[in-house]
Parts: sequence; structure tokens; C-alpha cells
Amino acid sequence: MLLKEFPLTPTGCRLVQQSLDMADFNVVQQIAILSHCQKCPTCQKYSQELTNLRALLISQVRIQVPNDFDIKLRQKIAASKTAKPISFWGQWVSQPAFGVSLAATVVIGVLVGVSYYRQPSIITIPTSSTTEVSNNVTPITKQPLTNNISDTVNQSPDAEAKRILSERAKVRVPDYVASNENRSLARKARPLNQAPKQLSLDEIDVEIHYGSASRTLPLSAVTYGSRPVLKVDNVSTGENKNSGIAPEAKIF
Amino acid sequence: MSSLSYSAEIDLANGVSSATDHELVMAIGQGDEAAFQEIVHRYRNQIINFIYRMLNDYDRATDLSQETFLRIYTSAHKYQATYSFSTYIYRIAANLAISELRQRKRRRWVSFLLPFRSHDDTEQEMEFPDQAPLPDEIMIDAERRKAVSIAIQSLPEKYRLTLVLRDVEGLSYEEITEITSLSEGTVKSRINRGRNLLRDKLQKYI
Repeated sequence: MLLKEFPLTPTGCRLVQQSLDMADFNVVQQIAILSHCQKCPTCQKYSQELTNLRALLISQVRIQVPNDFDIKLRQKIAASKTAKPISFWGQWVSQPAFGVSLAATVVIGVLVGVSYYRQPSIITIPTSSTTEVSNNVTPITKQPLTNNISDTVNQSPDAEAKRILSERAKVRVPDYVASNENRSLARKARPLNQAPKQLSLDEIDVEIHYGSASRTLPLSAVTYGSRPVLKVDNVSTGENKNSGIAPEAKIF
Repeated sequence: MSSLSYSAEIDLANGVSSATDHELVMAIGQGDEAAFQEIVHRYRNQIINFIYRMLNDYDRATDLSQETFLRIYTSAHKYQATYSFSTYIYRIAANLAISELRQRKRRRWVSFLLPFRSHDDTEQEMEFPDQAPLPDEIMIDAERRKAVSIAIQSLPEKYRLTLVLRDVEGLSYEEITEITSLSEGTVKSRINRGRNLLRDKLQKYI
């Protein structure tokens, strides 16, 4: 009867060990467990180790209460009666986590501030300074002009503009007008990340030089067939035909 | 409530030592200092030993024991006799001990207990100096107790609490269930796991 409850099988051993773990069994069960353990070395060892472990734990030295325990307890009770209650915010501020959060917030704020002030070129350059730069390097900042005029031009914009002006006004366009040097200067002068200003034909004049004299004429575009060309109206070079001085054109 | 207070007064009239825990707590809620003193005398040994087994720190165990009784004193008027008083006081002590263990875990990286730690990063058993020569048997016994203490301290907090309450303090499963607010199955499982861990660590002593 009893052996049937805890047979010598893995299931029986598991039940015995569970009962030993609980240490919660009646006399009949205890006899059955003892009977099983006498025949099962595994459960016998398990039971012995458990008994020894409990004995070890119970044998731990009990510490003594210090002599001044009651006195200090009284002092704490007296202190708690006189102590002011701490507010919710006071408790929160007194937590160590508050200091850590505050320090982290300050560090993040400083980093964000530094990163903000390290990129002023995009945000703070006024428009007027860009205009000034464009005036100083006139031919280059108007480079997109030719893109508006002719989509079919395969040459560089400056060269195309020079060619058209030379043909229509019969003037010599000096090289410096569209030189690579000026282009380079314009590129340096223009702030990074700033797109070239797009100009319409109405905004562009052509300056014609006759020796020491000069005239400024509006620039327009007309289309001959499918090919757009630049046109400068009212150009007269009659006065200077015999002077031997070739007029010069400057786009600005 | 009034009948409970009345019965407490009747029993206390015969002396606090004969009063039940519940009667004493009711009397503490009414400001009876003698009743509080009696409660302290009844439980201070158990509570200080329980906290000491959890923390392995004598001074801190004393402080937290006093804190436990202070909370009993200040909240006696809120006490409800749903569970036994021993469960109530162990619950307070267990919460304080666990809170202390968690705080220690957080500040472990700036531990000021370094001189008192052994090479395997476990706190050493506090031992009072004894100038008398130790016989071999006493030395072996001391070494074994130290090993057990270190093994208990190395247990995870959840296993340590249930195992100490069961195998060191000798509380029943039902009491542990009430103290820890866990189901009985969970309590049994944790105790069993804790024992298995301890058995592995203390193999040479058992």
C-alpha cells in the first residue's frame, strides 16, 4: 500500500523529493518516504543532503541585540515626532536620481548650444552681403543667365555669352570678363550651401566701353529659328570707328 | 473597534506580558508606551536576526530593526488585524531589507565596503574578535558558518528572502505567502531553487 504511493520509479522519486522539500507530511507519509529512501540510494542521498543543509542553516549564530538598542529607538521616535514632514518635491529633490538627471540635462543643453553656434554661415549671413559679392564678381554670379536663354548651348556659359555679344555688338569682350580666375573668386566668395542666384534678362545690363567712355545698355534675348541669342539694342560704335579703339563689353 | 480597545484595556490591566500581539498594537495606537516596549522585547531578536541574514551587516541590521519598530509605532493606529502581527512586522522588515539590498546594488560601483569584501566579491561574515586560542573544532565550525553565510549572501534576492524566512527563521509557508504577497506555489518554488543553489555551493559541508 505504502510502496505503491512512492514506487521505485522516476515518478516515485520525484514525489518523494517534492515531499522532502516541503517537509510537510503526516506520519503515514513519513513512513512511506523512509521506506522508499531505504531502497533508493538517490533519494537517500537527497534526503541526507537536505537534512544537513537545514541543520547548517539553523545552526547559524544568532546575533545579539546591542545594549543601546532601546535607547536609540527612543531617540529615533523622539526625532520622528519633532521632524517636519518633507514635501513631495523635497523628497524628489533629495533623491540621488535627481542630481544625475539635472547633470545630464545641463550637459545635453551645453552640447546643443555649442552645436547651434558652430554653424552660423547658413543662418546668419545677410542677403546684402551676397549682393555685394555678386557685384564684385559680376560675370560669374550671372552664370545661370545662359541657362535661361539657351538650353541647347553646349559651350561654357561665359564663352557662349562672349561669342554672342561679340557678334551682335561687334565688340571685343576681354578675357578677364569671364576668366577662370573670376569664376574661382566667385566660387570662394559665395558661401557654401548657397545656390547661385537666378537672374532674369531684365536684371542684366551690358556695359559697352569705348576707350575711356562707356555706355550701359539693357540686354534682351531674341530667338532666331530655334536658337536663342542675346541682343543688346542701341549699340552705336560710329563715333569710335576711326579711333582705333575697340569697344569692350562687360556683363554685370 | 471600541470592543477591541476595551478588550485590550482589560488584558493590559493584567500586565502587558500577558496581552496578545493584537491587543498590544491596539494599545500602542492609543499611545501606550508600555505596550510598545513589550512588542519591541518580543520581536527585536527575531527581526534583527532576520535582517542580518538578509544583509550580513550588523550595524545596518540594527538600524533597520529600529526603523521597523519606529514604523510600527507611528502607524499602529492604521494596523488592521487581517493577518497575524508577526506577519505584519516581518513584512515591514522584509521590505526594508529588500529596499536596502536594491540601494546597495545601485551604488555598488562606489562601494565603500571594499576593505571588508573577500576576493570573490561577497561580504565577509562579521566576526567579533576573540583573543582566546581556538580549538580545531571551533575553527572548523566558524569556517563552516562563514561559508554558509557567504553562500546565503550570494543567493539572488528573491530566493534569499524566502529561504531565510523558511529555513533560518522557521516560518510556515502560509506566513511566508502573506509576508511576500506571493502565491504558495511561487514561494515553494523559490525556496526549492534557493536550496538547490545552496546545496551546490555548500557541497563540501553537507
